[in-house]
Amino acid sequence: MTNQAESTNFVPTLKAEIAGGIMPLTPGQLVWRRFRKHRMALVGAIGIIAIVVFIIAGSIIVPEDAANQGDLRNRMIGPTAAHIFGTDSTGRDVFNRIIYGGQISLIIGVLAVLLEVSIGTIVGGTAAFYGGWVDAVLMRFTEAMLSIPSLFLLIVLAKFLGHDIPTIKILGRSFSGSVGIVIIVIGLTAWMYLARIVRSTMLSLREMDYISAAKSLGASDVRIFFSHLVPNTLGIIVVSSTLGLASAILTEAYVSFLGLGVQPPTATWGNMMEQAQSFMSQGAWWLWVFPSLFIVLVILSVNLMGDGLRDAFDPHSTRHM
Amino acid sequence: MKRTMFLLVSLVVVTSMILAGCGPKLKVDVTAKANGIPDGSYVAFPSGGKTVTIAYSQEPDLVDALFSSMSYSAWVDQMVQVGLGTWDANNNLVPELATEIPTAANGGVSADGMTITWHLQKGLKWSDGQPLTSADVKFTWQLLTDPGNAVYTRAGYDQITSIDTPDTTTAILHFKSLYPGWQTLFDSGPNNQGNIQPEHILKGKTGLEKDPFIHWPKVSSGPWVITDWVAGDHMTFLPNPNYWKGHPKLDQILIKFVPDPETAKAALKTGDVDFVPDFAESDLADLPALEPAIHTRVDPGPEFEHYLFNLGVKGTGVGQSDYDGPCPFKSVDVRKAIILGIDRQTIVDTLLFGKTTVPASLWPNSSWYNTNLTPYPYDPAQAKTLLDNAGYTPGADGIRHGMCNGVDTKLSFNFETTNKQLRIDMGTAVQGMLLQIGVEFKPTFIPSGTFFGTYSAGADMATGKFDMAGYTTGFYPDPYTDGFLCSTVISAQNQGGDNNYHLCDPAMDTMLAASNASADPAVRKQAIDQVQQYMYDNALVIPMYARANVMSYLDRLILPPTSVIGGMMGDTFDWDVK
Amino acid sequence: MWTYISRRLIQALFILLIITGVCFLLTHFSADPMSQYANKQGMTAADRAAIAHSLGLDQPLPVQYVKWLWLALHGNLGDSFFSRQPVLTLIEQRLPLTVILMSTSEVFIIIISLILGTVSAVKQYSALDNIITSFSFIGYSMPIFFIAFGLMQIFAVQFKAWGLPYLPTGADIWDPKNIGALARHMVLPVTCLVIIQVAGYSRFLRSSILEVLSLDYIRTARAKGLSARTMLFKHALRNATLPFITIIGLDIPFLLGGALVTESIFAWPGMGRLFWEYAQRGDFPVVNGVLLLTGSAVVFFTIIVDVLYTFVDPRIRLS
Repeated sequence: MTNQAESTNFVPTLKAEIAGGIMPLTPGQLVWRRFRKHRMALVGAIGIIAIVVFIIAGSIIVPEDAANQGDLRNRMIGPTAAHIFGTDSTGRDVFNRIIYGGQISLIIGVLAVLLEVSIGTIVGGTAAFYGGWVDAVLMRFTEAMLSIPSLFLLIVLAKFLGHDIPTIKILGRSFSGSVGIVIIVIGLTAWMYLARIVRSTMLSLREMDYISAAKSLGASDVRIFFSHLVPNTLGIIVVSSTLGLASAILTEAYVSFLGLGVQPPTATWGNMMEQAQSFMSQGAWWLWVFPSLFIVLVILSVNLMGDGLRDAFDPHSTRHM
Repeated sequence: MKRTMFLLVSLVVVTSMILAGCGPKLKVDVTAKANGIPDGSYVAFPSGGKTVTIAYSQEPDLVDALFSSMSYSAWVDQMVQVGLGTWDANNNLVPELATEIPTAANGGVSADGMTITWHLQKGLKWSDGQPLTSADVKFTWQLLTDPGNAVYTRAGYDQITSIDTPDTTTAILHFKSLYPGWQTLFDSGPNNQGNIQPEHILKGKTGLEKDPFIHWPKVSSGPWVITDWVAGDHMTFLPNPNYWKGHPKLDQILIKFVPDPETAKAALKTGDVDFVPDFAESDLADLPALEPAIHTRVDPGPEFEHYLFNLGVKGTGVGQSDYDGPCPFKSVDVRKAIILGIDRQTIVDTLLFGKTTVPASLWPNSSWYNTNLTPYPYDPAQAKTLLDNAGYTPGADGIRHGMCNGVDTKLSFNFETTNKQLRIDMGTAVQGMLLQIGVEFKPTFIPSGTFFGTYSAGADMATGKFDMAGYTTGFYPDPYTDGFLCSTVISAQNQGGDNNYHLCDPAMDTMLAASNASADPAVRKQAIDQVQQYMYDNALVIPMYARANVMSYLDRLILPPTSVIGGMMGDTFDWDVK
Repeated sequence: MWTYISRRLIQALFILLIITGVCFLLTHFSADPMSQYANKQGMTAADRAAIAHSLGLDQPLPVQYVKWLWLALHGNLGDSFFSRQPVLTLIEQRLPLTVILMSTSEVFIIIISLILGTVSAVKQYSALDNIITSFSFIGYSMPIFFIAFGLMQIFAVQFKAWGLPYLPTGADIWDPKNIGALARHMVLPVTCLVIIQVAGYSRFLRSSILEVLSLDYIRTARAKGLSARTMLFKHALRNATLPFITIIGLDIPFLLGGALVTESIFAWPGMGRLFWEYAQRGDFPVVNGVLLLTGSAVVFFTIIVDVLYTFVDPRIRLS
């Protein structure tokens, strides 16, 4: 029993032909409509777009060298007209570094989160759905991954692969190929929590009546999984992605200290924060406040968008603020 | 539902308590007696007594410095164990347990220099009342040369063939050949590992690295006794009633382990801690502002930071490496150009707040330093000229390239060092500077456990798979020159070597041999000066800056002057408070 | 259920074997213990070889692993490479204070996130929800160093300077057996740990409560006339706790591992510092010992949580 009456935008999908020739909306179009109407989601979307535009436009206007090199004599100066976000410990302009740092942080963050959410949902869902020995194998594998320190994995990979990685060129910037390794490692070592949570939710969902109804109607496993179970775990997936994004950006910071990922002088929001730690007691607040601000803005926006997405998918939802 | 929550929470709490209870009760035992020390000699927290609290950022893995590589072990060991001689504030060797330093004049050093006679003071005692005699000196040598003991190093002690002890205060050392560094043996001090060990406690045992006494020496020859050690937290030192000099000016010293320097600064401000000996040069940004409540002293130290070129030559012979160093580095002009292209003085002025110096060669702040040399200036114009003359011209991307050994080579070098913030900043600054002269400098920062790895661990510097590297080295107190010999170049044939420079130069070998051929310090100094001149002329390494010991302490603490060799813990006997 | 548990325990032993093997391998390559002796003046190759031999490093890797495993199965985790003391002793010395700190933090995290998550869900999209969301995200995305440093500067250093009652920096010498001193020294570290974790826990709880609140049987209950509070506590929270219990169950094993940054800043002698300080130096026995401890806890607590699911949601069957 759905709550169509309370939603002002619902169009029943009964038959292909309806008097007046109005075409019914597909579920996908429905979701999009509901999303569009969701005020908070739009705020989030605008936030993300604004930051991305800032980063891309900024890197066209500001040359990369301005972010990577500085004058030692101008080091550790607070925000001034010349450097609106101040300068860092080797005299580089923080504003420029935020622009260029954002590119790498967001690329790493988004790709790592996509990877970890995909793996986590599939592992947790498959384990819950099939149960039995599939569950046992997948869950034991999850426990093993939990027990293995990802830090050591990163150090070891840095040691063995450090020298032999080619550089990749995207959009005119060259990145060390080890960025790809960092994405893969962060993605491969952060999915376990989500897998366990998804599994727990699906364990209870799969016992629900409408699932057995769908099964008796002949729906395939894959269809049940993606059409019924996953949408109901979307809320958890959204939360996990949001938190995972922040976590991936911060983990990346530490990775460059192990010899992997981008090396100084290339900036990322994370390594700017990491370096700011050494200068806390000197009152150099501008070194960490600005990267921190941007990270929080990104995850808040992602979170709002994610909430909107979750509400849009949920046919029960009465929320479309 | 509420019940479920309650059950859950209690499950968490109970489980944790079970886990906590599984371990032994918290061991915080401040009674001297419980630690095997004779009762009646101490009061745990003397009322009205003078106490000083020190903050160390690392805890010693074990205290007896003969078995540990940690400087923190040596610093603690200096307080409880002493040697025959020690180093005063002017870096001179003065007697400690001995009555005088052996010289040729007083008959302590034989004519051929191979027999050294030490005389101990009369009536010396360990803190447990047992006499400290020449038998302990002989025992220390036996301990160090026992192959069953995993001591840190035997260097020097293995040159002694025998020790005679005709009476309880005389020890006669017989060397198998002339050993100019004999003065560094059996000494106190953070770098000498020569503290006298108690025969009456350790006799007859081997594998001493596992012995509880080596971990926590409870019987001392030095001014203090460690009466308490709470793992990971703090150590307590009370005066040794049998120390030959008497009672220290203080009544108690406490060492608290505070890993983070920011916390250490906060602790100084709140007065929780009186003395922090191990700040970094970068902390000088805000420490001086804390005067006059908190004093900061910057003492020149015996170490210096340097950048090295990989000078390896590929081959299987003596002095050859597994890999060739970059071809451009074979040219003196290229090396000189790189030195000229780095503005070391600005680095010192900005990143090190002008508190230290740019050395011209190795071993600054020591008596061995060649004072005739002045550091290469910052001269990018001259650097560019040198590179042009060497045949390297800038390409389209601004990086120079030219023919080297028939191959078109770019002046693009990778650089490795550890991931300390100061090193990162310095490497980044150098990168910018070298770009100005058309040299590409690509730093990578890795953990020190990987960077300093040995050949068998596949570490880049040891195996020779690097272009440039940077780290700190020093002299302790004899200039360490083995690292430049052909015979110590690390390769598959010689995995235990420590010539990270992979340098093999017969001229250097000859000069270095000459510096070890005589016991006369004047002769040695001349030879060492020649070595430095040669290294300077040939730009074999890049000395970046002389490292300083930065220590801060509250105004109430009265610290005696510290010596470069003895270090800041060399004279805790004379510490006092207002 | 007991057959299920015994089956799980057998699986646990098997997976622990694999875990220790992989960890041993990774640990071996993560650092070189002999790096501690690098550039030490006067050490000859023979000296280094002697030390490597005393540490057992000159043996082939599989042999080292089997020796370690054999001892571990007999309850002996070997001796630390550098302090030469038994690893079990080192762990025993640090474990009690670690567990006290971490479990106290965990209890506060659970309680506070229960409150925040519930309030946030019930008042979704209100100003309160947005404030809670923003602050918890700020706390989550700020590296813990900054929070710890900030708290210490304000409440320990500045308060003392201003003459107000102040909290300790942790760098003072204090007796953990004194409950008052213990409590005072725990305030700041626990606050740090709570601030960074609360976002994670409360967001998951909020999300699950929202899912449940929109389900049919809640509307039925509301239609039946049950008060909002009863409905909330009796029905909604019960089913919303599955992810919550999962997270708690995943975090408890890592309580044993301590919290490195918090322990370092507040000079708390815990397991986090033990692990990290010894790992940096390549002290393999200590590292492998601690990893075995946390690995065992992970496996063990996963079993407990899986059994707990059946109590929380009776529809879930153990397979």
